[in-house]
Amino acid sequence: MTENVRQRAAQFAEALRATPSVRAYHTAQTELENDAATQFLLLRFQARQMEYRRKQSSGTLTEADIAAVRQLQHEVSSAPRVVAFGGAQQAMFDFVQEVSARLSERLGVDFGVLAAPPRSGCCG
Amino acid sequence: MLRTGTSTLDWRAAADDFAAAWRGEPEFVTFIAAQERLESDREAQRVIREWQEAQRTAQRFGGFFVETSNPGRLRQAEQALRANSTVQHYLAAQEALQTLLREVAGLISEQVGFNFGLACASAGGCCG
Repeated sequence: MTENVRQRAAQFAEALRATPSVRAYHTAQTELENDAATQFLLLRFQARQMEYRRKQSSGTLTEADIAAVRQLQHEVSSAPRVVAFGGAQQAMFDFVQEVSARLSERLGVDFGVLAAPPRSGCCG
Repeated sequence: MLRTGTSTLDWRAAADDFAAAWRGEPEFVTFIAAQERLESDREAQRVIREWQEAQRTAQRFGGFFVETSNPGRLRQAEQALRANSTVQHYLAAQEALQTLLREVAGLISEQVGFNFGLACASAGGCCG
């Protein structure tokens, strides 16, 4: 790539990082990662999910196991830090869509379609 | 307004500057020219339409097309696409531009702290 594009990309990235949406996303992400209680809850949920899959494969899954996973899932989805992060992530995502639309308009090509990585699962 | 050297950077101005920089990028210039050539090439448009129609009339089972009528039509349409130089030139130009855009999106991702390219493409949100 030309040095001009590289420099403009760096300035563009810096401008994006300074926007309220991206800053709020990073703040919420940091607060989630630093919240010990929520992290412990997430670990417990992961462990319970692994046990659930193991028992499902072996045919030993019980109603109590299913109830336990559902209870933890509810706790995770209603945990304040998780809720806050989810909201910030969606707001960031909505903002990036606006950014992508502007780039596409200026370039005359669909930036989002062309710049997307090969099909993968997550954007984190 | 974008003000270099200060702490205030308007993302719209920065986006516009970033987009303008691509006008000097060879891959972008080549792609735009290939796109214009494709749009004005009647024969290329015909083979594309034929291929699209052949796909529509073929029944799709999983990842495969099964032609319940006019067997061979889809294969012929695909061969015509591969043989059309305007179409192939466009696809090559698109691939080159896509490779570069992904590379640049990767650089942006490193700075902003999330997968920028994927966030731009997704219409339904992220799972991270």
